[in-house]
Amino acid sequence: MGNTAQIQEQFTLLDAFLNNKEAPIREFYVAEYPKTKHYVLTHGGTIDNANDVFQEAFFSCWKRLSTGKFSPNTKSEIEAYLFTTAKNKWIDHTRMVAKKKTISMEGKTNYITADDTEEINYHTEKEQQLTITLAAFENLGEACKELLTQFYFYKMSLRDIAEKLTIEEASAKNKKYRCIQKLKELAFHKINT
Amino acid sequence: MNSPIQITQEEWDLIETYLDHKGTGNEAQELKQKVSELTDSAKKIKYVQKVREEMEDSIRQSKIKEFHKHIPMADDSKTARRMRFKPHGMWYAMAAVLVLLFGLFWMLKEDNTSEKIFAAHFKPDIGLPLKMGTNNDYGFYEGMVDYKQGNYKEAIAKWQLLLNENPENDTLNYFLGVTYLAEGNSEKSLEYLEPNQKFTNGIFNEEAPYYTALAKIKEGKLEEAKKLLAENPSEKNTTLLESLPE
Repeated sequence: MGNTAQIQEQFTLLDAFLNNKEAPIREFYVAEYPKTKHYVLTHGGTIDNANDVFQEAFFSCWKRLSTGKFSPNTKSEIEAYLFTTAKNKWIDHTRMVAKKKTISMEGKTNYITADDTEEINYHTEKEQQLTITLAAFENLGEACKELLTQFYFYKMSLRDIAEKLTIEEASAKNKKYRCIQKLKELAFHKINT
Repeated sequence: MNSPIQITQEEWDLIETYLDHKGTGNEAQELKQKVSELTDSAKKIKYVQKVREEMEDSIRQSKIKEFHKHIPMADDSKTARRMRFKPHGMWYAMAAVLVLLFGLFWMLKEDNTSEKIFAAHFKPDIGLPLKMGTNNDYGFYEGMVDYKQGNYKEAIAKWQLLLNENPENDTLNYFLGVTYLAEGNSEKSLEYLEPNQKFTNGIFNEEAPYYTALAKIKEGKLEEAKKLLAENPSEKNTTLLESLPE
């Protein structure tokens, strides 16, 4: 592949992550998954473990790229970041399992330093919160999911959304607000049950 | 989202307009002033930002789950799960597995090779540029928007309707074939990509044999794929041909 083609490919991918363009991101996901799968399977994990760490790493990579916290110069840097994140997540997971076993055998927590505990608590809290929001989102009706995705993910204007739904722009605005209220209720209900 | 704050629709819309406003002029100042006049404005702005961020995060996670459905079966096989043997019976189990594997090896060798080659070479066609604002071929470009967003089912539905009116159209046949292949349905894909003669004089005369060959590879019909690629030499087709086993 020539240099121009490489730059074009890299630009397309970065642009996709910054603007939530689904097809290139999905292609990248499918292309990068086997490497993590191979790593996890050859380091004592299962397919389900591989799926979990890869999806978490992919989410983290996507978020850092889209918020500008990670500004790679090449596509290889994104690939390396993704794989390293997945690998570290798997190493963390195996360490945590080993620590739990050590704790239950020895009845004390000597192996966890204060910093580790803080970090684990932070991640657990953060991930729990995300899971709850995702669960709430998944429980929204299709119409609300579609509308919120178009507005917050594809960044479509309310005018375009209204046109697509053949309703007035003001109705689309009301509908969006009601969907957010519904989502908040679902999230609140989930977190308190 | 632990302690929901009550924000009216007007307040929500105002805060979102303020957050999304890119300018710096009078309008921005007015917005800032209006938002600052809200009760607990700082708290409300922070809350709206948080809800928006979490919504976008959950949509991303939802999309990631969808992406995973596109992993070729061979890459996500549940049969690859790590096996845990109990000490007793481990040797019997290993012997049984070896016998089984030996038998299966020859049967699956071809399929695995095909799937790997397919996965290594298949990338959906980038599609055609969108001509916004033209009324001609509106349905086709609407399908192309879906295709580019990866909404393959919607694209297929729209293009299929058009194809019913014009069954010989090479563009529709080509993109329907590629879209079905992107969905993993090689059998259906071949219904549109074959016979290849329908693309001979069009703009897809190089690409159509490439995707047809990939569909055949996915089907395990390696010899047919080789023949087709050899008959239609191009840089991509030759590279794919060279990747096929002797």
